[in-house]
This record gives sequence, C-alpha cells and structure tokens, in this order.
Amino acid sequence: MNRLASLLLLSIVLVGCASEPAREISPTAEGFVGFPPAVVTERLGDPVFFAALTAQPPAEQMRMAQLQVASTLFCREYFAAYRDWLITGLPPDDVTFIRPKYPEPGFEDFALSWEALAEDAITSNDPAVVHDQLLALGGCVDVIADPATGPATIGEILSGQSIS
Amino acid sequence: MKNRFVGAALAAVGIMFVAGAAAYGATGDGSFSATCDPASYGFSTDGKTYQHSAKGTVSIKQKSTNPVLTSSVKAISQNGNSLPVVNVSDGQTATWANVLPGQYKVYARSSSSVNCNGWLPGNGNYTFNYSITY
Repeated sequence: MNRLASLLLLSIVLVGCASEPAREISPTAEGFVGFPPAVVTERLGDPVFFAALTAQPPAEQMRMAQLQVASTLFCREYFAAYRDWLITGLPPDDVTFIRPKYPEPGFEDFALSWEALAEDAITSNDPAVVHDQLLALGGCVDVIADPATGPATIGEILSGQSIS
Repeated sequence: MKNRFVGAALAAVGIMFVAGAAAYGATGDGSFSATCDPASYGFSTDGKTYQHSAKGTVSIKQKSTNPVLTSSVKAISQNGNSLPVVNVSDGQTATWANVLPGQYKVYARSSSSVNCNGWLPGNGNYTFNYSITY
C-alpha cells in the first residue's frame, strides 16, 4: 500500500514536472512590474508581436514579453540619444536597459549584451556607428519611434522614409 | 561612469566567450512540419534556438521540402523581433545581413496555398528541411 502511494505521488510529481504551466501574459501580470504600463499595453496590443509571442512555448513567453518591452524602451532611449548627439555634438551617456522587478531567466544576459553593444558604439565616438546599430535587423529598426506622434519606425525615420 | 565602463567591459568579455563557444559562423540543421495553407495558418518552428553571438549575417537554406514547394522563411529573436520574410525554394538560401546578436528560431510556411493533402480535406502540411548559418 505504501509502495502504491509512493508510485502515485511520484507520478504526480513527474506529470507536474513534464507540463509547463501557462503564465499569465497580461499588462497587469507580475512579470511586468517595473515597466511603464503604457508600453506594456502597447507591445501586447501589437498583433504581429502577440502572434510571435503566443507561438512560443508557455514557459518562454514571459521572458520574450519582458525583453520586447524592455528593448522597445531601450531602442527609444538609444534613438533619442543618437539624435541629441547629432544636435549637440556631444556623445551621450550610457543607455540603460530597464529591468523589471522580477526578470525571467536569460533576461539579464540579453540586457547586458545590448548595453555593451550601445556602449561600444558610443565609445567609438562616431555617431555613424550608432546609426548602423539602430538599423541592424532583429534590433531597433522596426521599433515605433514615438507612438504619440505616429507609426513611423526608427528604421523608416533613419532611412528618410518618414518624417517624425 | 567608470564602474559602468568596467561592467560593460566584463560583459564584452562574456560575449567574446560565448562567441568562442558558439563559433561565429556556426551552422545547424533542422526539420519540421509547416502548413501548406498560409491563408489560414501561421508560421511553424521546430523550436530550436540558435545563438547568434555577434552582429552579422544569418542565412537559412531550404535544403528540401516534401512535397516540393516554395517556403516563406524568417527568424525571430528571443525578444520577439523578426527578420523580414524571404521566399525560398529547394536549394535556395535566405540571407540577412547586419543582424543583431540574439537567440533566434527558424520559422517557415508555404509561400502560397498548395494542396499537400491529396484527396483529404484541407491543404495539409509539408516537411521543411533546412540548414542555418549564424
């Protein structure tokens, strides 16, 4: 009887380990604490991004969502820093990748790698290096520069396809 | 500022280590089932993650398909940023230059609606065999 109970308990544990619980991906989820709510809502409301998000395994979705929000904020700050550099002639300070209160595993590595890329570009003392970074694929190029002023992306603005 | 710089330098060392481990220009192979009905279904992936460690080129070759057709392929990074869709046939390679570092997964589906299902209902799926250089 004890053996039967042990086997039953073991099977419950194994089933529990095998299936990843679905995480809540909504603007009020705990994983988004520390981010501006408006940007969380904006990104989760993007149908293209949300389709990519929901195509991921449930265990990976919160990390992707956190990184999407944080990288959007980072790209906007990086783009603003680049524009200031062109106007003032002075290299910007470091651009920070905002961390949520409860970062998912892998978040920090990604944040550090993007901060390092920006730091390298800024310390090159050449705005063209930042310009190139902002146009790199898989990065800031498709980020809407300022949703309050229109849908133009950073890439479109830098390519002269849109005035913002 | 100085401490920040040291932190960034350490991070850069970490990236170099990862790059060495992952071997810049590394290759991988995969295969998965994808839809022949792009009007009704989205992209599929095998879920494999490829660590693109330094900004540069990523390419995906459609090695073969069954049944033979033209695919729409793309890659999506861990933060959800997507490389633009490129259509490729068997033996052709989609290449993206100037790609930021990140962990990317390969996605594909038929580029147009094709009946891969014979007399069965619906258009069904096909097998997408690929290799990736990252």
